[in-house]
Amino acid sequence: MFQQIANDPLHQFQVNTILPLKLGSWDISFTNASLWMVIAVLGVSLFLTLGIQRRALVPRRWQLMVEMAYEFVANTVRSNAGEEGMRFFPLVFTLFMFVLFCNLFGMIPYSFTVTSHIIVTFAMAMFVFLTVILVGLMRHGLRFFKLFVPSGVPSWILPLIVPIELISFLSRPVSLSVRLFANMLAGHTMLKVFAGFVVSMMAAGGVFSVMSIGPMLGIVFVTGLEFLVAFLQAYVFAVLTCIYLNDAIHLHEDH
Amino acid sequence: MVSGPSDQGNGQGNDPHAPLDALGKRIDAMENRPSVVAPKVKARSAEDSSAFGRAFKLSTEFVAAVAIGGGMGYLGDRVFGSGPVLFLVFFVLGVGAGFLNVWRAAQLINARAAELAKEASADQGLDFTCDDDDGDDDGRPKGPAGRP
Repeated sequence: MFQQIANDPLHQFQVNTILPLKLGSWDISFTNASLWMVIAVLGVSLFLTLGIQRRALVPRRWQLMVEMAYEFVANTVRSNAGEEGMRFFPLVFTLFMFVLFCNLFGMIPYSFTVTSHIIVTFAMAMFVFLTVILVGLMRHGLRFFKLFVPSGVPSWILPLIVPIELISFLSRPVSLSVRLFANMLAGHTMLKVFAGFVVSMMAAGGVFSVMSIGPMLGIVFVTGLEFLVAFLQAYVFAVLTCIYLNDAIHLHEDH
Repeated sequence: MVSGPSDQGNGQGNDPHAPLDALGKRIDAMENRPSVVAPKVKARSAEDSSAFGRAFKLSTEFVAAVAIGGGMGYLGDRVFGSGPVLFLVFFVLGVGAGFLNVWRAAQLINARAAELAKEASADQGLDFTCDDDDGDDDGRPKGPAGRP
């Protein structure tokens, strides 16, 4: 297993079945992807429940981190979706923490990065997308479709603007999921490619083994960058969820 | 020296302010240490906003819209058997939507950068010259009584 990982930078993204399961003709096997999702959920739950166990007035480190996570997401929701958007705080907080923990657990060597799979990120993006449509229709009824008709546009140009707005709206789940997936995939592949350079340069011996310090330093730099990306992508996912929810809640009111 | 965390909270019995007082003492002790320097907030905020911009990958915004537009046109052609007409029309509309997406994302990044810059200047508000929007920079907005 370790041999394969060193030779093939894409091996880390392989989905392996751990427990084969069948529901009718559907394959619902428990895979390493499922395992790491469960680990992420358990990690978030443990972090949040153990962190606030003491409930001290002056928080210690863990409690402080939990409170900071809460405040951070709450501020994001308030500033992007308004006070009414706080009804969707549980959704945004869950998405943020899940994506963040999946990204961070993916940084552990030999682990599996769930968010580097487009189907996972696309499922989350579609969930957000459908939630936005549902909330918009429930709050505004058919007036929700005025989202595609910007105010103050001359009517003769509307046949051009409405399809463009519609395509832009439909492309949201695509760009939302591709952004997260592509960032995680690219970063992790880059790490493994650099690591492969180090191994083969060391094996080549002589001058090359001295020069292998170059890609080694590259790995150190990219690892730091990847931790930044892990946080940033979780944040961007949460911010965009809030902005899309804001559209559904307020329509054109504050544009 | 800074007191350890073990002696906080168990000194004053049930006094609810005891932990706060202990924290205040620790902060005072921290501030008097010569080794503590103020962090460079401004530099960090510029770094943050550029990282936020990079995280957005404007190319993704563009390509996603073109793909959706082209896909819609292609499916329309399949349904109506109208040759490449709908594909071409919706491809062009997709490019338009792509530009719209990029424009909106860029606006979002700019807004975020402005927000960060504001936060940074608020954090450095120790120099007592804050912008009060009435031109004299005394830290007070013009009151209704016309005070200077």
